[in-house]
Amino acid sequence: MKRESQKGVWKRTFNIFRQFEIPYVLFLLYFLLSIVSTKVGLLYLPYYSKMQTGEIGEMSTLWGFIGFMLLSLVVGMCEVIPQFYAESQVTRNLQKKLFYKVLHLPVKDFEQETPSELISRVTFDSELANSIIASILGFLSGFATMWMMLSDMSAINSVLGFILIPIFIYILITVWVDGKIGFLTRRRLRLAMSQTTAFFSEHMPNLLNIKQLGAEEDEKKRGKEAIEIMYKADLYDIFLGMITTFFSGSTNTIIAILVFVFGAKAVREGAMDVTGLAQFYQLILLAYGAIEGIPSLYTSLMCSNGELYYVGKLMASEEEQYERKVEMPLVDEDIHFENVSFAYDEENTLENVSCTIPGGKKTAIAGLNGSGKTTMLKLIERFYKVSSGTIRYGETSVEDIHLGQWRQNFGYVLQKPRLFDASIRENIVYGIEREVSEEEVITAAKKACAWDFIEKIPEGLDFVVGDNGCRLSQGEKQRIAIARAILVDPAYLLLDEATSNVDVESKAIIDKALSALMKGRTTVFISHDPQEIKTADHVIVLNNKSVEAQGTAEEIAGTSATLEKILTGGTA
Amino acid sequence: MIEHKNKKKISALAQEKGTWKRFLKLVAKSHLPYVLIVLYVIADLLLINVGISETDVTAQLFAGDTSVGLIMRLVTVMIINIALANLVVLLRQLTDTRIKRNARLSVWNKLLHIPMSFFKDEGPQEAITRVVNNASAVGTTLILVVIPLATSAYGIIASLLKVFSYDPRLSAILLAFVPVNIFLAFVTGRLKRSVSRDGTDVTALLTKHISELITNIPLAKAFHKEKYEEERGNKEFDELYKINIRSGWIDKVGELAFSVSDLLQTIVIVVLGVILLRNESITRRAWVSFFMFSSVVAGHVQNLIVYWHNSKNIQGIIARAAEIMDAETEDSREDSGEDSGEGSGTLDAAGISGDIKVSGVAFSYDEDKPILSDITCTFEEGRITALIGKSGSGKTTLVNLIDRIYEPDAGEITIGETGIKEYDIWSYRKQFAVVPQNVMLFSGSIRENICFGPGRDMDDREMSDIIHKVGLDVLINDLPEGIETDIGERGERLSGGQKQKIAIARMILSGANYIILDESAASMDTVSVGEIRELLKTHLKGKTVIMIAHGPRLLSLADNAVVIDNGSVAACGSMQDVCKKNAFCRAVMKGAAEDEA
Repeated sequence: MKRESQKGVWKRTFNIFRQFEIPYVLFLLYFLLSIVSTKVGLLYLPYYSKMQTGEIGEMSTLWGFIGFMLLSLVVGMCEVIPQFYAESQVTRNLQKKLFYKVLHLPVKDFEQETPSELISRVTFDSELANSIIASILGFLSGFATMWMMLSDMSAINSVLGFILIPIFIYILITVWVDGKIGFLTRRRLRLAMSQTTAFFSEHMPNLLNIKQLGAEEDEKKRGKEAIEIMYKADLYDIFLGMITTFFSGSTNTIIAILVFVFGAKAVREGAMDVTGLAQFYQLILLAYGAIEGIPSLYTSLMCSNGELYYVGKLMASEEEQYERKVEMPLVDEDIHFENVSFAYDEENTLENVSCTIPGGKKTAIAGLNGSGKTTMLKLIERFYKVSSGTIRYGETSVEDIHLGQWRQNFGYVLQKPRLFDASIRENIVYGIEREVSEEEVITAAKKACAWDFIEKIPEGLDFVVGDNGCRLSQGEKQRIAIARAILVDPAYLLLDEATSNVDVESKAIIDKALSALMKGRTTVFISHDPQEIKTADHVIVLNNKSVEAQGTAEEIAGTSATLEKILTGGTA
Repeated sequence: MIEHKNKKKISALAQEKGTWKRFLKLVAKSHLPYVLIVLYVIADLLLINVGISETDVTAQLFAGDTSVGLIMRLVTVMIINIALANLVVLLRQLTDTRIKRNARLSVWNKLLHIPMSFFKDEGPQEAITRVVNNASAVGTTLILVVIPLATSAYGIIASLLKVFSYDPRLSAILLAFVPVNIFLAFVTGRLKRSVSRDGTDVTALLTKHISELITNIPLAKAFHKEKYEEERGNKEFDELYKINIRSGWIDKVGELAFSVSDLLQTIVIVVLGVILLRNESITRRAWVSFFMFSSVVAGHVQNLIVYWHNSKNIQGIIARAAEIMDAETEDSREDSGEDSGEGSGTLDAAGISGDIKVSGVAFSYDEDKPILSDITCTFEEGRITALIGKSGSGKTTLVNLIDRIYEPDAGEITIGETGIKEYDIWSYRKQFAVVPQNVMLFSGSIRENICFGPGRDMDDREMSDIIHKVGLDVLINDLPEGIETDIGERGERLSGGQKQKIAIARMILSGANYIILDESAASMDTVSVGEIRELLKTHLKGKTVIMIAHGPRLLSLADNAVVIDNGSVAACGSMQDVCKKNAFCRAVMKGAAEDEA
């Protein structure tokens, strides 16, 4: 994996913000209101200080106190409203953009992350954008109001202002310490957390197997170990965290001590009065808040940059291009693989594959597990792009044909079908844009041998199948997926061991239905079943990443050792 | 979309007043670090006292005393305060972490012993969340709710007493506002909760939809429905936005209510105080204290309210954690407080023998979808019986009932002449070895994965013996680290055939006489299926075997057959007889001629 330069990562993080709509007006409004709010607060301060020190001789003091308190409340409320609108819009707009990017990722890139990582990126990481914006705004408004505070402070006592300098230095030290320690603990904590969660996610879903194997005691021990790792990481985090807490927590105390020691001296010398001291103290606390904005902006940018790393990567990722040069011709052409190689990571899954898939015929792809059969199908479906070589449709390179149209013309039935948590009907009609009549759905279901079990369910087609169809058995799911493909009535069929999870009786019927469907249609199917392979017009045998033989089953029966093995079932 | 029954169950539980009772039960079961807790509480109380001193001395300063002596006292108190505050934070975090760890251990241990039927409404994923996160509910409640509630109350009382020492009337004024604030918080809290409860449920549902959309993206691509899914997704995000805005408004209105009441109270306090001061009924010193402590008391009351709200949020989490702790275990050894009529027997199952007889068994996971209605058949001892049926007919369900993973709704299962319920469930399961379709493997060495199970330790000779027996020696010799090689997450580095061989190794090691094979050779290539078949032929000799398979190659090893159709047994007997009588069996066994040996 290449290491990106720090600068490159920064650039990519900031580019995130250029790619979705940011409600600048709302943020500006919030910014202005927050400055007004600070000003009102500063006007309120002298009255408050008089209250604090009991200098309440005149009624005007009381009115001023109440009046400004009221104004402060009103402005404070107004200030927050554009803020939460703006932040919610940022979250929403970024989520939409990220979702769009994920939808349009090339399949290979999509497969490299787990769905749960992508999901958390889209739904949760998008919140992080707000923290960057907030830090920047906080810094700017702090900076803007700083001079207001400084001038008020010097009106009370010009000399005491020097206290700010050691405070500022102290803050820098705190931030530096925080950064160093925070990095160490966060990394260790995250490692322990993911180790522990990984342990539980590998073991918990297998509760059934644990019980069958009688491994409960064994698992108890392992779980205990995992929990201990988590505990130790927590302790480490706590003790290191105490150092940070100590530094940042004590800033207020240090400010107070400095102000009161030097301030009391000034009062004793007659340079100011006690009310002035109280007011000065409040002002310095406000100024501290503003100064803190500067280094904390830096830390928070560093943090967010790290956390937004994957979001940035997603935003910068390639998108699948649907528009190419030509439409897909209506004639059934042969599909030619010309010296095609494909590598998923660094190693080739297919090397120099050259073969032909004849138009209008049934082609079987055979080979032992791991020989690259599914990869070939995915290349035909154009889920993947070849690393070298060309795939041609007739004379045209497939890369020149519109992608969306291409895929719509191929019905792809996977080994492990996916369903939506919706009714059977909704799942079957998924591939169709227009309105579909009840009869059409039932016909498709019958052809896929799914109708007999659907009929038996009280809710029938309205039966909701659960999360990825968990309320149905594997075979039932597969038949719904086949019905779905049948309804689309595509020009080409790609079947990846479509009947491997179905019982023999249904398999026979589905095979019959599929063969009626396949008549005259170009079909490419993967199978281990000798009977099925024998029904193909053309067989391509894969071994060790390349084509060992191709032709009709009789033609190549003698020449291909692999095919021999498959047809006779290996060792006696 | 369905709303899972379980979700309804949980929110109903959460509303139950029995939460505190449940909380106390959890506390009793949780092995709390009592010494740490006591230290934490003492330190916290001390902190409150020191805080009051600091406020008091500061008040003296503001009242006009700027002498060096006072300043020195002030500085000293401030230093003690900050040191103690840090100590309290440390103790709190240590206590919290310790409680979390202990709670996680108890919940994990409990989870392992709960019957599978507990999980049928939710995926194992939720169960994982429970262990890793929600297990800390007890500790969180203690740290974030119970103790802070107590110390805040103490803080209020101590502050009031301090002000009382200056002037009782001032103290009375402050005291009067405490119930006003609490009442206000109670009312706004109620309103907030009733409006925002839907918000969290809807948010969870929307997130679930988005998760499903993302997981199914390859499907969308295959049908070129990207535009359609984009619209669907955008709708969800728009809904989430609306919910965020709504909860934003609810929060702001709530805050406004508080700020207004705060304002009014301050006005009243200040006006009263001013009047008293101008009459010279109270001293300036008393006024300054009064003013400072009024915000201290207000602060404690705010905290009190926050902790009270936390207790509401935690209700849901406690309900879930308690559900697990209360759940009946498979052997009902723990007191669950529920009717433990079914559950486990006490007989030791070691050395049991005999036919497995199933009579009149019925079962369904889901009321909407009945699976077995009346199963009666026998699995002969020492023989291999094929269990055949269409997919979804309930074959796996039946073996799960025999293995006592679930319990039948009706009917009985016996081994020899004894009902299987009579046996202690752990020793019973030890008599069975299950070779499943999806072998459980985890990131660890091959050795660890093979020994996984009753946790036997094996010496190297035994280990190489078993590896040879299952034909894994070729693989192991090829690997640089041999048997210590890590097999990757969920064993992703192994092929299907290799995984099955590990499962068979486990089967042999268990020494069990009753074997269940569940679709062991599905989706393996023909060469591997051949190898597995040979292994099974050797190692199943003399065992009582129930074999579920779809293909004739493995089924041809079977002596007997049972055919399940439509919830009941369509035929049973020797393989020959059943094939004669039953068309489905014939269809399945077609093409078995080459392998019959």
